[in-house]
Parts: sequence; structure tokens; C-alpha cells
Amino acid sequence: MSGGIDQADADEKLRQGYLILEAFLKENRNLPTPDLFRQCWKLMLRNERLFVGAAKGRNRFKINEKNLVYARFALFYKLLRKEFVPPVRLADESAGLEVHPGSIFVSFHSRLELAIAKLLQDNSHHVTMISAGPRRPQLLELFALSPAPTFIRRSNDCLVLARDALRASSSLIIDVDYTVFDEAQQRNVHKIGISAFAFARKMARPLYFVKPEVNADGEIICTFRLSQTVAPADEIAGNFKSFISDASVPGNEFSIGDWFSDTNGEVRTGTGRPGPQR
Amino acid sequence: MDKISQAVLVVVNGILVKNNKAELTPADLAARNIDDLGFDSMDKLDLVMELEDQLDVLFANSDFLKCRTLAELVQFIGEIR
Repeated sequence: MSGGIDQADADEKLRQGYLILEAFLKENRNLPTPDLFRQCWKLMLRNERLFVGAAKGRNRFKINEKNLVYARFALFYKLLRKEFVPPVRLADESAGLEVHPGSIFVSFHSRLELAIAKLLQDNSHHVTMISAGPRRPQLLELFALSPAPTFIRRSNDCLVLARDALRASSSLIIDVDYTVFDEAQQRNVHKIGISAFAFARKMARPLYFVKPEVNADGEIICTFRLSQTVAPADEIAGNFKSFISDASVPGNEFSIGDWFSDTNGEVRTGTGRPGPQR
Repeated sequence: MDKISQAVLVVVNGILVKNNKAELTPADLAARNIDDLGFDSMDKLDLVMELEDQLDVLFANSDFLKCRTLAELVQFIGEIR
């Protein structure tokens, strides 16, 4: 058992799910790559109970389980169809993506962040991401990101390096959420750090909130909202929290925090400080 | 104390006071490691931007991150001015 999940049962269901998928893929192998992916995704949604359980096991960021299933399947599908790239589009395509290079985009751990990079790259932006570490090469290949985004490792140097990136007209993507062990509650809590918002305010650059989601057709839909940067950082963080409220997992809602003081600058983000040993 | 050392001391102490920490003395400049000051990412950015303002220099890239001690930082600024 892991976090209330019967892992053996979840793995067995996943195995069954992939058997169904394999049969479907074989039967429909003549479909064009995008159509086959869409149909597979619909099949997975119809059989969600088979796929979701296995995603719950190691989900420290409480990422939407549908996203985890999606990312896993997209990587699998890429092995079958090398030309496949997950479809990514704007929620409001009529508005277009008219943002200046050198803007700041804040989002949250969703397993879909590279879709944001893909959208920006398709609009001629060079992309820099602040992250606990570089993304897996398979994910960069999945989204056909070329050149790969520049990754700045989370540390107390990261905002100085981020300033350099902005000066070089690179657009910056920052996941602002983290988890940390809360002594009072004796559990990991999910927080939104304020540093990125303070940084955007100081840099006087356009700041966008971004929420990527997977729809029923297997498309990644990115919602962008331009934020003001005049208010104090914690107030902007509160606005972001409202923007993504429907993306948080029930029982694990975000609160506002300060990553550096909460984690003592530990680069192993996501794990936070270890809980008490029992 | 030269102008650069003085500016570094003023800026660093400003951040330390904001963080409720003890101020440095001129003697500390020679020995203290920047990483031992307990600065977070925003403090480090403030350090850079305040020094740029006070000394009318531009840190064109992040080479200053290679400076381990405040003495090295003083020397680095002297070289780019």
C-alpha cells in the first residue's frame, strides 16, 4: 500500500488497461497519427479507473492524475509513432499569443509545463525554465523542443541568472508551487511561493499566469492571463491561487508560502524538509 | 576603506538588517563567504541591483556568482568598473 493505494491492484488495472490499448492500437493501426492518438485518449478516458490508480502512487506534487496518465501515454505513443507531438493550443485562439519575448510565465507542476514552452517556442520565444533540475530528454523530444529550453536550477542564485535570461530576451517559465512538511499539521502541504511574483514586480516585465489542461480530445489547452505586477507579491500570489484553484486536488489546496525559508534553500524541491523520524 | 568596499558593506548590511541579522564590520569583508550570509534568491538579486545602482556599474552577466567571498566581490567590481 502507498498513501492508501493498493499498488499491486493499481498495477494490475494498468496492465489490463494497456492490454485494451494495445488491442485498439493494433486494430486501428492505419489511422493517421493524430487521429489514432485522439481515439486512444478517448478510450483511456472511458476506462479511466484502469489507468488512474497507478498514477496516484508517487505524486508528491499532487498533480492532476489525468495529466500523469496523459504524459505517460504520450511518451509510450511517441515510441510507436516517432512523428507524434502532443497537440498544444491556446484556450482562446482568437486572441493569439501576442506576448513579448522576455516575459515571465508562472505556472504549477502539472507534467505539462513543456507544452507552455512549446507554445512559446512556436511563437519565436527562446525559453528559460527555473526548475529543480533539467527535464528528461524523452520529454524534450516528445514536445519536439529545439533548441532545448535553458534550465536554471532552483537555488539562491536562480533569480540573478533569471535576470540575465530576461535581459537576453528569453522568456521565463517558473513553476511556483512546492510541497513541504508542515510540523503543525504533520503532513506535507502544497504551497505557492511568492518569490517569482516579487521578482516579476522588481523586473517590471509582463507577467502571465498559465494553466495547462488536457481536454477530451487529448489536446493540451493553455489558458494565459496577463497579471498586474503593481500589488505586493503575496497579493499577486493570491490572484494566481484563484486562477488555478480548479486545478488543485481536493483536500490539498494551495496556500501561500516562501520556498526558501520553508525549505532552507534545499534544492531537492518537492520533498521539502523531511518529516520527523518515527 | 575604498568606495567599492564601502558600498558593498552598506548594501550587504542593509539586507542583513532587513533579515534581522547582525551587521558586518569592515574587517568581515576580507573573510566572509557570501554563501554564509544566509541570503535567499531575492536577497542576492537585491545585492546585485543595489550595487549596480550605487556604483553605477552593470553586471553584464552572472560572473559575479563566481565570487565566493565579499573580498572577491569587491575585486570583481573594481575590475569591471
